[in-house]
Amino acid sequence: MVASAVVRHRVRRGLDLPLAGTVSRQIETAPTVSRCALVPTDHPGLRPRVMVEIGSRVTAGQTLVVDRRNDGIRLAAPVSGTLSAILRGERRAIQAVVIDHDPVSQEPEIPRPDGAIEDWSATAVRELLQAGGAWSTLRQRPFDIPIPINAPAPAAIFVTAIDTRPLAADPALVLGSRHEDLRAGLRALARLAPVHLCLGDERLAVCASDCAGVSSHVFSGPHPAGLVGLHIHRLQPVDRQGPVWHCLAQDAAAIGQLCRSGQVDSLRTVAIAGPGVNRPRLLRLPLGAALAPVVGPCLLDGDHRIISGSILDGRLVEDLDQAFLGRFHHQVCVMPRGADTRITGVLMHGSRRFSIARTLSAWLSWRRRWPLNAATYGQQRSVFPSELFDQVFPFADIPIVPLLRAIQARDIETAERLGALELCPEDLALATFVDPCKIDHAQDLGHLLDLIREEG
Amino acid sequence: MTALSPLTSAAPWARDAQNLRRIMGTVLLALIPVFVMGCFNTGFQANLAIGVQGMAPTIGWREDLLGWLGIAHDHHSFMANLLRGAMWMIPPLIVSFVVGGFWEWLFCRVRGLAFNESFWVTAALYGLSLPVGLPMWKAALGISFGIIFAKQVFGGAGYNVFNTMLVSRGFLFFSFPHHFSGAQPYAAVDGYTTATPLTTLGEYGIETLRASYTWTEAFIGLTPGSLGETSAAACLIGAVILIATGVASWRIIGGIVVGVIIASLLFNALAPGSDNLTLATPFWWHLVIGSVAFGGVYMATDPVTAPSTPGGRLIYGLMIGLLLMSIRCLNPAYSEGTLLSILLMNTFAPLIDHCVITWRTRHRRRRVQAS
Repeated sequence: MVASAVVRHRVRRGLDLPLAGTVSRQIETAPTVSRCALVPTDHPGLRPRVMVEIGSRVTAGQTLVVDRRNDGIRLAAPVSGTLSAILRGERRAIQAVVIDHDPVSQEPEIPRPDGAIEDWSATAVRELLQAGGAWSTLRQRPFDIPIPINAPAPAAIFVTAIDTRPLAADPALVLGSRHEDLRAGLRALARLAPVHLCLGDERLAVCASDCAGVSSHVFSGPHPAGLVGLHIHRLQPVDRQGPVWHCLAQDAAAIGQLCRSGQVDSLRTVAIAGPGVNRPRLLRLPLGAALAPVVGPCLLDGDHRIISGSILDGRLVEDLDQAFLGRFHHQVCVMPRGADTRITGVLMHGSRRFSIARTLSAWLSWRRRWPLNAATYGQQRSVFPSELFDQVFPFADIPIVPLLRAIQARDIETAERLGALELCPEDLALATFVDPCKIDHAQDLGHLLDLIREEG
Repeated sequence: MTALSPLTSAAPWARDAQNLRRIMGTVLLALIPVFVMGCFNTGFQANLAIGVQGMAPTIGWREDLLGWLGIAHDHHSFMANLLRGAMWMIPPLIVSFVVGGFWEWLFCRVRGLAFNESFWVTAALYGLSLPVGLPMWKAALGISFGIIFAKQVFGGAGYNVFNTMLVSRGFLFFSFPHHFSGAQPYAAVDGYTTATPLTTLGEYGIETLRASYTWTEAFIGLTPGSLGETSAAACLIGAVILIATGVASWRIIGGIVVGVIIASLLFNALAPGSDNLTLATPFWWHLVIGSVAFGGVYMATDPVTAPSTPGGRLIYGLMIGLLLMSIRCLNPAYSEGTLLSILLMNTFAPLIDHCVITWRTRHRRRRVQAS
């Protein structure tokens, strides 16, 4: 077996946030999770219509939600069980479709095409993924939107097997025993379009070594080296005409399992981490797991904020009892609220608060891991073109300060010309983190992208 | 004293501890050497004129206060120089903070905006850049013009096209030119006129300047000039602070230094056979006289009015350096080109940005189309 060439990419700009609460490398048994949910807001632009009545039985992979404007966009039930509730928020928007999980029930086997995966047609792969509920693991950049089943083939599919977010579990560890599943998943995806497997650890490259149509790329350097936005920017810049698809490596392994055995894999390895957790750990949890029974026993005393996803780009949990793990989140971060923190003054020596700027002395203790809290440390001001933005933004062909100004001015044309369509809010997380003027650039980019998408 | 911090309301859920207040505070910190050297030199020049040249001290509250404190006209005494200089240095700073602060407060109040800390730096730089003995009402007029017409009419801090402080000073420069030319005293003594190094250079050439001051004196700033701009040494300390803390762009400061050096060498080559006496001056003199150091370190580095792309900042600095030297050497009417060159390049900052952005987006567009 000849190993295919691995392309190396070095990322020089960025920041690995030194957040306290790193997980151990041991995957532990999870507590029993009896409720799981499909959260429509995990899929930007989706107008959900629930296709199943409350009280009905659903099986994993069965279509649960269809988009009101495009019935080719279908989201599947993450687990088998009974649909027990539809939680609604403001203006009756669906917040979560809750399933009472029934872990003992026999998962159905999805019928597969005959022959080797390499010989399957693209249509057969699409049908299998749809039937197994795995189609919605693919997302389309620009916008990170769900993909209709009949969408034309993209220029490329990116499989992200690297996670550089603070406290993230290492995909090479998580997928250590699932190389065959990942290999099968890559082969199936390669039937749809050329696949770029993006890695942080070269050991996983073996999964792509004998797959036609799959190329391996090793990214090294600080965050955002592991964000798909950067991979797309380096390998296959996109615009409206030439979208790409992407999915996470754990989801690709689930696709592989579906292709190999017809079994729906609804478990994902998730890191429960952060300064507010008594013992950070890795757990195998079902998709959309209710967070209360999982996070509750891990919490330290004190006033905490729980984030589904990472501290940089996760979703804030407002009510733990009604909160579910995000569809694309592989960690839960618990951080102190820090409600009594004061705004950084001129004369504070500042050694007790983290900053990458050298106007504070935090950079002197560069090996320390910090219990970052939710304070902004300042009030909002108009855009200040600090050089820090350039230090944490490695997208070489996108000028960051002009882009931030265009976003603030809601100037769609300029933002699009500068490359905003290649980005998603997570790509501006670090720029938002370092902004001395405390503007929510990431959120504002999200709103701008919503606007562009709605206007067509 | 400081208020409780708001909490994050959108991802990322934590934020860097630095804020604008901290950045502007650091600039003020970096201005302390300039302030101290400015006080010392202003007092030193006055005591020199009184003690050595035998000029009569200016009658007024300053002399009364110094007499009451028992401070003599002794240019050898560090404290006597420092305190006498502070008497001239502090009033314009107070005027600039109070009058400018009033306009700033008024506009923020009417618009319902938060007070922007960048005003502190504007006011401090403006106060430090004024000529010695400028009447206070003129100082108040300048800062009022700058704050209102260079900043607030554009929408406030962060939206201004021109550096507020430079517009304020430029307003005075063109409205009351006699305060800025060699005919008016640059020392804090009535009726005493002395040429600044730049005037000497323009009229008599580098050899006469060398006979008047050593390079070290010019570097430390023991020459006549505006309140805070004479000491290149103090500006160098400030530059080290600003670059080390990442507040100022090293690209802009470096670009200016390189631009000045290139232009000087070019003019040196043109000097033989020319009757322009400034041309023959070596670049190490150009860097320490006039307000090159002060302007290059504190004014050109204002990120709001400079280009916002790293490459653009380098070009911007280089152009300021070249333009400044052209004005200084080739234009006999204004010997000081720093203010004009930075203001002119403020105009071009969006154009520089446009070119850099076009180049970068074109590269990306080609890659999109190729893929």
